[in-house]
Amino acid sequence: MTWHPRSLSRRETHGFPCERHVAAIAALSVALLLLSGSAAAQAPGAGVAPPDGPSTSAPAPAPAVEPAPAPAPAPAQSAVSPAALTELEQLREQTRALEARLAQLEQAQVEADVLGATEGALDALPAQQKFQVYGFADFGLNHAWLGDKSFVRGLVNDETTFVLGNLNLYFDFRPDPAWQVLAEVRLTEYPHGVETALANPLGGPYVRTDTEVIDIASPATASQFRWGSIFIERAYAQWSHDERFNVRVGQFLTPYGIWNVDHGTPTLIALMMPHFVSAQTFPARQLGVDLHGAFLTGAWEIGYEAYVSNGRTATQLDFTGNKAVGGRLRASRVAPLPLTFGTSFYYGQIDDVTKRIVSFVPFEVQRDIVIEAVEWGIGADVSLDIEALRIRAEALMRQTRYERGKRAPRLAGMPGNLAPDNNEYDAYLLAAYQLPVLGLEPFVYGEYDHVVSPYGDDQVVLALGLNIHFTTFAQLKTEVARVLFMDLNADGSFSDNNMTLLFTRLAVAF
Amino acid sequence: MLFAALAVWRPSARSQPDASLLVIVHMGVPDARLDGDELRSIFLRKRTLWSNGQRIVPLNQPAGNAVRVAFDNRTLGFDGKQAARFWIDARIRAGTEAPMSIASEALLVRVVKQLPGSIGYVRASVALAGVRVVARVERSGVSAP
Repeated sequence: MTWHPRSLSRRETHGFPCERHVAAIAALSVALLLLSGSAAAQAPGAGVAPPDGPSTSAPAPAPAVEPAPAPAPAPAQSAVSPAALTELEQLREQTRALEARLAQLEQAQVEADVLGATEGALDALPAQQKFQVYGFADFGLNHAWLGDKSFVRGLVNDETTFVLGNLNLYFDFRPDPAWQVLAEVRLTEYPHGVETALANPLGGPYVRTDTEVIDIASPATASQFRWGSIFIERAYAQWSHDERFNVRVGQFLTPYGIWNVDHGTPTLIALMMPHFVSAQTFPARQLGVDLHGAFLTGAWEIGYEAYVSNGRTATQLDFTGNKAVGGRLRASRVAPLPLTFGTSFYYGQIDDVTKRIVSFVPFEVQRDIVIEAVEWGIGADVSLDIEALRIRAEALMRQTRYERGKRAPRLAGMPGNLAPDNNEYDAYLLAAYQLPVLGLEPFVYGEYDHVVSPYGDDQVVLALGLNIHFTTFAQLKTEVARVLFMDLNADGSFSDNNMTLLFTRLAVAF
Repeated sequence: MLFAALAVWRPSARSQPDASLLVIVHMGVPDARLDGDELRSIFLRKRTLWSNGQRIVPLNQPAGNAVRVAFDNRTLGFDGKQAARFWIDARIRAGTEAPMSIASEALLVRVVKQLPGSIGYVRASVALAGVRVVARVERSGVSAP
């Protein structure tokens, strides 16, 4: 945010506080121009070159009169009386004196501008930062190459398609330097287009959410549109005592690793999320209280986060009262090489309930816990920049244990399939190099993850990408990823589920 | 091949003023001098309070300004684009704003003079009055004023 005194046009239009300077400059300008014209008019007769007036870089006051005519070139030497030469010299001196005085007054006005603007700035400084709206957006296209026998053929769209990616807006309110209320929302077209059921041999229909409505308030008689929704990425109020102690209350991004907090397309290096982020091995966001801060020790910063939350719940409510806890500890420095080591942990419950009326008189509702599990996980991350080279790595593991008879439905599983107890492991390494021309930044990405899934329990992702930084706020990101399932087919051949994915996005921060 | 060739070629560093920069603070700031680590933590908005508990108000020069480029490079280790990217990333991650920029050095001196808790930097050749110098920033690093 740049604040320039010239932008304060209010004081210019109202003449505050230097009207006498303006008047003096205008009067002097008129006198100077008259004198200049007089001198120039006499110059040809005098047969000498026009005087070199002092140059000034200060802006001239608004002209109230026509500019003086340019002096004519000196003709050949001719006879001039000594009296005329003396008078001319006197006029030159007067001109120089008036121009010097004019320059002084102009400088005085500039300084008065600055001082006046400064006084205004001090009053306006906090107000300018009280409320801001900013965000990021990305748009692009997807394509997938799937095997003919792939499990996801038909599920995943493998045609080239343009996509509206993220449109995230931040509403940042700072009523006081110690307080911040931040809401980040994502505007989406969802739930329009979401497939909720596939037609099946048992007669079940194909169901896709359709939000198209007729705009009955429109002057047109048949205007239609599809309404979308607002997804709350995070919304919290934060109080800061100092850098060592801050309290955040509300819905916050789970502070673990690198990717989940970076989370915005312009900030992330690669496009395709690690599996643990997309599958939310740790919850992506939580509702609760988060304490965080950092202790500065020379070049190093020791940061911490500690939170208690509702955990992974089916709604925003905690149905069982079992709170989740987690945290992150990191050591980081900015110079000479930006470097961060971090470690994170999470412990929580997975709960869901149903409710049913068991008696109308007296009215009685019974609540049954239908899903109940305990999960815990740990993670570690490293971030290192060496000149133009950016290296990011994260590793994560999670263990999930269900209560007997209270398992969740298996994600993307056959009807009736239930989620198993699970030990998951995931790690990735990402390296990007910013080339010195055209904003090119190629990157390589490798990931291994183990999780029980219908597609295969072990996956390897190898990806190449290229970011083109047009400016610091706009970049074109492209990534091609090969997803390999390590479980072989029954005949020992490579998995039919292997696939290649292409993503490209124009990402803009604003 | 192209990437490899481009990778080994680096353009010459952006020209920076050779002049020393002076870090100035409001007269009410209790800290007598600041070292490079402290300046970095202040201008990256990691440190938020002076030693007397007063809130720090860091003031930058505009992005792209030669003095700003020199300061970012010498104290934060950033080139111009890295600094811009840092603040975009900081805002997306946590809503952290870059310090406010003041368009002219003369104005910055006046703001620091009047605004309690403020800190800024100017060329050593700029006339100073009513502010205190807490560090000198040169190509070789940060030193005592």
